Amino acid sequence: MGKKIRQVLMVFSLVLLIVSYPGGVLAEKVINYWNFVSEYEAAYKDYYTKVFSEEFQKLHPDFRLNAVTIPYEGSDAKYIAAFSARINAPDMFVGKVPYFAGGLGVADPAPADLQRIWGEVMVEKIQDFVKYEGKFYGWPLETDLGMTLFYNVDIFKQAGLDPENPPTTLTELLEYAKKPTKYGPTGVTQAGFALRYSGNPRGIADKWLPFLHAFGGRLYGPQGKKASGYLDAPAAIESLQFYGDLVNKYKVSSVTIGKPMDAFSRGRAAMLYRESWVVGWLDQNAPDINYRVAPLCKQERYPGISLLFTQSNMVYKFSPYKDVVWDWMRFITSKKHDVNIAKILGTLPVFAENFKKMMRGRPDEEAVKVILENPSSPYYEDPFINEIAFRIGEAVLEVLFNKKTAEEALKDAAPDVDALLARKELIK
Amino acid sequence: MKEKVKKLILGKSLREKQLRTAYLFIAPCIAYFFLIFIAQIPHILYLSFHAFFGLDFSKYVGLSQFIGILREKLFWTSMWNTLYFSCLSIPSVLGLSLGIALLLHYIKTRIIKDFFKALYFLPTVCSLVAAALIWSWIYEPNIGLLNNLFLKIGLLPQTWLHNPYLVIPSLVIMNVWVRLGLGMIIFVAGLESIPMVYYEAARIDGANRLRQFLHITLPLLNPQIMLVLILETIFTLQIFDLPYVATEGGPANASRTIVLHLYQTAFKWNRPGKASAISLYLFAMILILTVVQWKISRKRVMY
Repeated sequence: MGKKIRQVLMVFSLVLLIVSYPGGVLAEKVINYWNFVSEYEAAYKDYYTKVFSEEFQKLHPDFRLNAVTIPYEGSDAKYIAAFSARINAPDMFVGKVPYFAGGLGVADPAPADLQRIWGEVMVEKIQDFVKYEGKFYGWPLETDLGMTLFYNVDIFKQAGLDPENPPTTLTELLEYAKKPTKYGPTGVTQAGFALRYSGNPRGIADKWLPFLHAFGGRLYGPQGKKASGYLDAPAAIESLQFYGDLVNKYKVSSVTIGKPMDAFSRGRAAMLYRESWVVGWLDQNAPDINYRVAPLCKQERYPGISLLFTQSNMVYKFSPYKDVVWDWMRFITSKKHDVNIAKILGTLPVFAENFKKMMRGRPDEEAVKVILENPSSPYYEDPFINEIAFRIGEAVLEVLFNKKTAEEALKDAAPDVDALLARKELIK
Repeated sequence: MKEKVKKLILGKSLREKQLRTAYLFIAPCIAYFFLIFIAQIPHILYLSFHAFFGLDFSKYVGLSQFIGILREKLFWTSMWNTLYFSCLSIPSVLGLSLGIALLLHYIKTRIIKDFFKALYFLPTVCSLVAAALIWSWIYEPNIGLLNNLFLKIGLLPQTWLHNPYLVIPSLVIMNVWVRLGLGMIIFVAGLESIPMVYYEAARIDGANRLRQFLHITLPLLNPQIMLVLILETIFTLQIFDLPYVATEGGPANASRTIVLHLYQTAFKWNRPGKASAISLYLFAMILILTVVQWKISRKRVMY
């Protein structure tokens, strides 16, 4: 009797195991969504989960959304490990289109209907950033038009500067930055202009970009094959020298002041260049900071959209639920949800129609108009732009920390970037 | 050999039973070590001869990655930083932990001795990530504890982790704080195992404290010194957590260590082949250094 009971229990356990293993009869179908952008964490996690469970599940009752925020610093490693193993890889994820579509080859191109619809509804100036080789791969988290000049009105007034007339050229920016800069025993305690000097070098390269473009330079040639002759050209050298001089010669900025956003939000920096999402971030995290937003400064030319990347939602090419995930993308990229997300985050919406309405009355309205009216700066679509930007960021750091002159740093970096640019030929 | 294995498995004597039990106890550890470390070596060798493009495409490239790495400035910068870190950290850990162990050895009251042992050992159980975060705050140039202390005693504040020339020494201080306890415990155990009769005999012969230390303590602590030396060499050559959390290898690569470089090559830039080649260089370096240390200092001291 005991033996029979044991046999029945064993068979029962075996059946239970078979039907409940991932993909089995009882297994819940979960769409895993990974996001590493901490600024958007709550909005995307909470809003997406709510919309999925309350609205989308009516269309696909078997599915559940598991929204996960992964730490930014370890995100590259986590993505590569998951996609390489193809186990527990996210079905939908946030990232940079050229890298995930071209460099890793894991992003799925949008279906034909979305290729058409997105082309019609998305703000035109950002479409290139979510395309790879002419095809849409992602839906951006916001309309990111690159950086604008944020300045602290109170610090301007204390320093005798007119907040109604912010600097318009880089030469003026330097002059303006001199007045509010304060010094203590360790150096600068209040920066005239805060710049990025720590963290991932690719972010450091990104923050230098408006300076490079303002001097008329570019990272590499329009064909995407050579950096030599561009990255080490006089315009690029002059712009990096200017950038380094802000720290080392004129001492209006510092490499000890902390992260620029922290410094600005604590009233320890008079000016900084940042993206439009910072408007929402400051409202939520530093409501006491009295700031205004102005267009980026010109020098040889107006820098326009100076962006290395924009973050987008993408679909994993080998997801077992790819069709459902694309359905979800169709659902969540509607005009209604676009507005709701932009309201929660204080960012600019992605739909051109929503964008026009919501841009009005924002602190960065005029600066954004200038961006839209002017031609964009070069866009760098290389699939290995992560690594390229890292190498260029290192060159910027060498200058900021006074280890090399701008000319030495960029002349050393250019051949390395040439080699990285050559890599894309090998994946074709 | 076959007979020995057979005896070990089927033998019924007490010695064979004890051996069988001992092997069973260490079997999980050996299995883990084999599966996680040893079994990966052929795969690492395979990877190091291949360049990867994207996740699905790789190409046999022979020795070119091994040669290419040697031409890379970043590799040598990382290597130099690692060696610099090791050269500062190993003697500091060794000297300070031995010094503290000697001081503790002379404390006769058990409770005070145990209290200090626990106090010095505490940072060892703290994770390096937590240590890095604590020390990042201590080193903060404007609001950090250390600079405030410097100002109070009239010294010029420093930029510590933000200064390319101070960053490695600053990381070494963090590392010493964490690693001191382990070395100290090993040395205390070693000191307690030295028979007191040697010291009594030396005292009768007129040897002072310094001579006793140089001619009795140091030679008899040789196995412990070797152990700490090898452990610290392996640990510091593989240092990753501290620079990863505290500086991310900066400023301007001044604290980029070889394992951090390896990690970024593999997981930031998706180049497992190149990262495997770097890991083989690191493996060879640690192996050579350990063998050299072992050969030089393995002589036994008998009185």
